[in-house]
Amino acid sequence: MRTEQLTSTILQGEGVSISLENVTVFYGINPAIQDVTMEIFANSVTAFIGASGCGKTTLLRCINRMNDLITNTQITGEIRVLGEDVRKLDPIDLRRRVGMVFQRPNPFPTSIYENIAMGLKVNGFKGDIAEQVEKYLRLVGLYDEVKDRLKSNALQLSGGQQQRLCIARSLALEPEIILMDEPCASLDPISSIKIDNLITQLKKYFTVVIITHNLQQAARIADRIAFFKVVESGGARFGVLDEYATSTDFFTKPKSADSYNYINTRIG
Amino acid sequence: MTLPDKFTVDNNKSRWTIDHGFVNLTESIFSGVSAILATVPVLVFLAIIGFMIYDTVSFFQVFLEEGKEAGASLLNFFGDKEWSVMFEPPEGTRRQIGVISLILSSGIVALIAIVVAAPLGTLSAILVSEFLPKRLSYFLVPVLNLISGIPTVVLGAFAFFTFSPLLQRLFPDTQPYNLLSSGIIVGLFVTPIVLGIGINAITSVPRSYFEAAHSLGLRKHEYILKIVLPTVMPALIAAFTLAGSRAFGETMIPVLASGLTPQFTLNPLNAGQTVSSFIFQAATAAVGFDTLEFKSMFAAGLVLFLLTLILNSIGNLSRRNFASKMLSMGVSQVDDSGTQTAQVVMEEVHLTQSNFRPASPLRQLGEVVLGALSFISVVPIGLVLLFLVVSNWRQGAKYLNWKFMTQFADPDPEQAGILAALVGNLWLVFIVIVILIIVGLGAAIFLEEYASTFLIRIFKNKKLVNGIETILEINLDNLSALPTIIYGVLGVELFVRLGEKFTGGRTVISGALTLAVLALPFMITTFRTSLRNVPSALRYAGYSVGMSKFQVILQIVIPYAFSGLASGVLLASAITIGETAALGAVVGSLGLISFTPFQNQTGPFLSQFVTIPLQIYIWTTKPTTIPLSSAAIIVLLGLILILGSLSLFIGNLFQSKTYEN
Repeated sequence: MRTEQLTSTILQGEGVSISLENVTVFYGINPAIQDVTMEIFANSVTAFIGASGCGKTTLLRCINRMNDLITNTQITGEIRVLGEDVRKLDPIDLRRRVGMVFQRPNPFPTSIYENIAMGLKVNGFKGDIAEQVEKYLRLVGLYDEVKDRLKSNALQLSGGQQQRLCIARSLALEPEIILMDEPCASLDPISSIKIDNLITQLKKYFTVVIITHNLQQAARIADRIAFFKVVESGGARFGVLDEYATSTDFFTKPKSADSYNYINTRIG
Repeated sequence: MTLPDKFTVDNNKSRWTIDHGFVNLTESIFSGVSAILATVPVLVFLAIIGFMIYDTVSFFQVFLEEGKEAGASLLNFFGDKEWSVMFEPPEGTRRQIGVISLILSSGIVALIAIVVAAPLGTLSAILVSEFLPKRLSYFLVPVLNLISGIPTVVLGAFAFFTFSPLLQRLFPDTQPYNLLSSGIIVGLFVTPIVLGIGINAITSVPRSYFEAAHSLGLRKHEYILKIVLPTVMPALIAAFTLAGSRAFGETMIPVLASGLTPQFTLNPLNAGQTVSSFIFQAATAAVGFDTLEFKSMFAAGLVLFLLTLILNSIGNLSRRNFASKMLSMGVSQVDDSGTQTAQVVMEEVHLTQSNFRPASPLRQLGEVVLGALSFISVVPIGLVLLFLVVSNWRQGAKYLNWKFMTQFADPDPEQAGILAALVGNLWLVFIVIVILIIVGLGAAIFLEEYASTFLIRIFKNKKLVNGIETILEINLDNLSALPTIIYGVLGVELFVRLGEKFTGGRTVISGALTLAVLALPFMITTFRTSLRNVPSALRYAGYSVGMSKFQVILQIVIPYAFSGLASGVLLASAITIGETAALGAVVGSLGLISFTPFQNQTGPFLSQFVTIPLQIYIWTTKPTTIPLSSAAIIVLLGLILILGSLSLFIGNLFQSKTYEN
């Protein structure tokens, strides 16, 4: 496979955080994404890009086993998180260690404080909960905006604030990896830039995998780019990994014709 | 943005002390218990069928045995014209068991009810969704729905004492007891069914139709008559069927207004006994459990059950088809007959428009006429409600004092009070609500959150599982639309007779269990809707921070759905209070009860009891106590209104907390 060559020759990383080997996902009998093999490196930002329907989200959700929640999903191949096969891990423990931020902000309909505290409590956090809540609200730059109304409902926050709260909520669990599914899709440009800056700072502590349709964002924050494309075969449409390269290489000298077209139709 | 000073992340795993074994254990216990609770509605369905068939068989055995010499045969059930099960036959003859005469009476009542409810419900739905400003309809719909919340005992008394004399003035041939007055009042009673489904259907018509129609210059009535009504027709037909089925099985109104004498008649001005009012009579008659009279109610019940089951299945299936059709319309507009109809109509209209006819006054008139008709459609229900409140107030107000609330029923009207009924009723409803919350919520959680994963693990086939889930849902829909008297029959058999050792016969606990079984399908469906309205993004958020399913349900789903769940509970309690007439009579006692369940030495669960609707029924049967029943009606209406508005209030309380997804 070409992707294997790409991984071994082009990419040198600080250590492998997630490794995917021949991963294929079916919904019922329809394949969503087929035969993905790649390694995602620790303490870096990896962006998944590609047209809608290429299976990026599906693949992302396999990493923390969120696809378990959709009945009739079948996954073949092997996914390892920090060397451990995810199928052998307890999904609840896995999800604490692999956090997720969603496309639309989805705070719990409780207080701002409780939004972060709830995850800490269910995972049996030993430290001081109030301290942890404050630490991560500060990290996402929300603390000063909300410190007087920590007990008020999180749904009263603006969209951008809600999304930063959701990021704080997953970071407060101090996961090793954080998965982001188009976290800025529903945000205005200012909020979006704030989150971009945050992500570039975070990679010191976390491995970030982010899905985005915004190529500028990908170029700005990602160390590596995984480009997926849709192929049709035997009446089925599914996604495959087309090119995986460092951000600079991908945007300056894309190897595949499809990624070249994708970059240029979007930017040009 | 820069990281705060001295920011570090402590990746030490020992800071997380979650006990996965314990989490998984609670998860299994929780899902197991909810799975067991979810089997209750299925068991209820099987129990109803089982008892009906078993006792019907034994009814025929006794009948054939008794009428052996008179040449009794099974075919008499369909061949006889008369139904005289309650009368001991003279020597050498047999009882007449022509169930047709009962079915005919029920059919006449149901038919009249549909004729009343179909236009009223449809027009009111048009009024609410097309003519009235939103704010007014928020007020109007609950008021119209009030008629369904009024205990049928009260409506039955109204039909007999007030409405029948009116009819007699109009048609002098009208009997004091007649089917027409029952039919019309039952029609008003079931109008909210048509109204509710109608509003849902009309508001689900895609907005683009409205825009297209108006961009082509259609007037409002043309848009409604040519585009909306043809599109929603399947849903309306479903609504008429369900309303008809409800009317067919309605008990207390025919009991009070059409008499208890079975007659083979096609004339709605005559008296006649319906299937359900016969069951009421047989169940309340003081006869032994092994007599033909007692068993006959199961034979009649089986007939009622099967007929309404067929009607409900037709209605529910076409309603589901309509809903899924509407859903697909929103997604894609390809290959859709509804869209095509709209387009054809638009084209036609467009052609006539191209003639540039001047705005015809006739077209303006059409709009005014439709508007006026729809306004008029709410008048009958409004008048009945107004009349009930005013007349009962005038008749009963002077009895409404503290003494009335604190005295027991008494042969002397001056001394009589409602205490036993009030306490009995509230106590009964309290037990019912506790049972409903436990069983209903458990079953709803299983069906909504666990069932598909669970079933797929067993059957490994998505299509089959979808089929099973549909069957379960239709079963629930059918159970909640069954005539209440069927549940009465079930309660008598299961709790009063077979369970006598534990329940002590006609006691509070038998009544509560029967009512709980009756309200359970409704409760589960309401709970499920509330749970389903919780956005899936919220659930995913819960899972993503490492919650187990149990924790997601307990900490996120239920708190989010709380207002919906709570208003559902209150609505169920209002329904339960209304239903305590038919069921109370069947399972409870018609005697003079002058104690509350708490004063009885048997203890509050095994005590005999009386409820307010039951007390009203008892009081309406004697001329001297009729004013007392008016006073009791006022108390009951007040109680139901309080519960109803509390339910609305709680439902709206958390409405502002919207969630976009």
